[in-house]
Amino acid sequence: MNVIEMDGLRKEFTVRVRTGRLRREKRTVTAVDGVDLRVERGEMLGYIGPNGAGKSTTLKMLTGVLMPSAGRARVCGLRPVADRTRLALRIGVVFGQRSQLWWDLPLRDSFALLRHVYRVPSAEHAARLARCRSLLDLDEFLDTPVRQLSLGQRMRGELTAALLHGPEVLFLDEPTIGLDVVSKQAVRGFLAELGRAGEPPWCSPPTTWRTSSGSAAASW
Amino acid sequence: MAEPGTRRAYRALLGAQARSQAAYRTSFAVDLVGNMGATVFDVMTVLVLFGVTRELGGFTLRETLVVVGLSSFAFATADLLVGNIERLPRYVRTGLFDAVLVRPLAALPQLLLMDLPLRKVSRAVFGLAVLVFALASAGIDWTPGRVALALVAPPAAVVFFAAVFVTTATVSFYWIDSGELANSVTYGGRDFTSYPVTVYGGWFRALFAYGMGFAFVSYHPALALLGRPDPLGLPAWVGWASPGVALVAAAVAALAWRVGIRHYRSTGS
Repeated sequence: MNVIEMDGLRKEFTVRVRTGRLRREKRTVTAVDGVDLRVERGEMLGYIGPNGAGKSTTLKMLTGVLMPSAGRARVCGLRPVADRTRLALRIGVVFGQRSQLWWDLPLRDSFALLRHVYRVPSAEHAARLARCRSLLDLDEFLDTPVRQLSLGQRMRGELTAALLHGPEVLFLDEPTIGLDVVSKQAVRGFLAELGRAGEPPWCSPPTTWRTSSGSAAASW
Repeated sequence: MAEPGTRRAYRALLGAQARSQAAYRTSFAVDLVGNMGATVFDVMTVLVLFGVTRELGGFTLRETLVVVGLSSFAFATADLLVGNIERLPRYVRTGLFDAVLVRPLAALPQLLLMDLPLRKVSRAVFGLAVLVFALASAGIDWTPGRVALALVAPPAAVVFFAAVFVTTATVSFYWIDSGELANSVTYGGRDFTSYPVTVYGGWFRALFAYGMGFAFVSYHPALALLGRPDPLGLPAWVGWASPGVALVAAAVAALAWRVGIRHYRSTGS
């Protein structure tokens, strides 16, 4: 079964370009130009391209952040923008550059809050958190306010935050950007583990969509 | 949005905000006092004006205080509840709005609860005190209708200002650096509603009072409460129209928000 479907998905932006001292010209830039794609349940997909190729834009259209200019997208059978809040309950998203966590609160509190935001039964939440804690070594900084975490620690927190509600699809936008070699390895190892494990607390391994601007070999 | 699970989610967001602010305790206390100052000055300005004149646009001090009270209570409360929507341009510019949109909650309540400025509580309380004092001392002939209006007009004015905050903030979906434009309407509106509209003239009055509807925040309800005919000649029932005007404003704001969010462009990766 297809979890993600795209037909002729397209996004155009109008930008104003300075052409003279005061004159500015409108230009249309096509960020995503007719993408057709099917992704099946449980697949792990790398979406690779240079900076500015439109990777993040595609991902934002699939998660309901951006309205496509043309074409059709379905994720878990839902229309991303129109059914945004219902879709959000079934997907997890990590943006490498934007945090989902509460800056001034300990990591533990962010996780507790997300349980309410995603309306997760407490036993399921506890089971997934326990799994992430052991796989990602969260214990040493669980009580540290997010603003004091290192980038690597924060990213491990972000991954956990995106998985606590048991998403069917996990979208990762440059999840290893800026991380040192060790942290990158930790994140990669975790994702591999996640893809392999069809075990609880995730009933089935989430479909994973990951964008990366690095070369395929270096970043996987 | 009254589903219990959703309500609990919003409550949790509010709690997190309270705890985040408690992380900076001293600055919270300083802000609380500083914010009070801002509203006190608004009222002081009016008192100082009446130090040099007995009448302002045909209104005495006690009558004008009803106008000021309505305006400052309504603005301070709306500012407390939705005023931080002013930060929308920053969320849009930095792309933080993306993080809001991938959560399973409506975007507007999330934004408002995520940084509800609790330090502004002091302003709203002061505004309420001025309003209550003004209503008690203006020599109002209390009929059941006027009691009802005194209870309905302040919340209607709050809704109106809230709608203005939201509508002007949505401009940032199209034009990111729009903060000052929004401020000129919101803070301009507050200053405009602090005085009887008779003190303003010409096209300026027509635009703010009736084009944007600010006359219905404090001026017309105050006339109806005081039982005064409108010096500008509008019929008496106009004073009772403020809840209707507030609902229209709220509908406009809701529409502007829905259209605006579809135009959100996000930022690079």
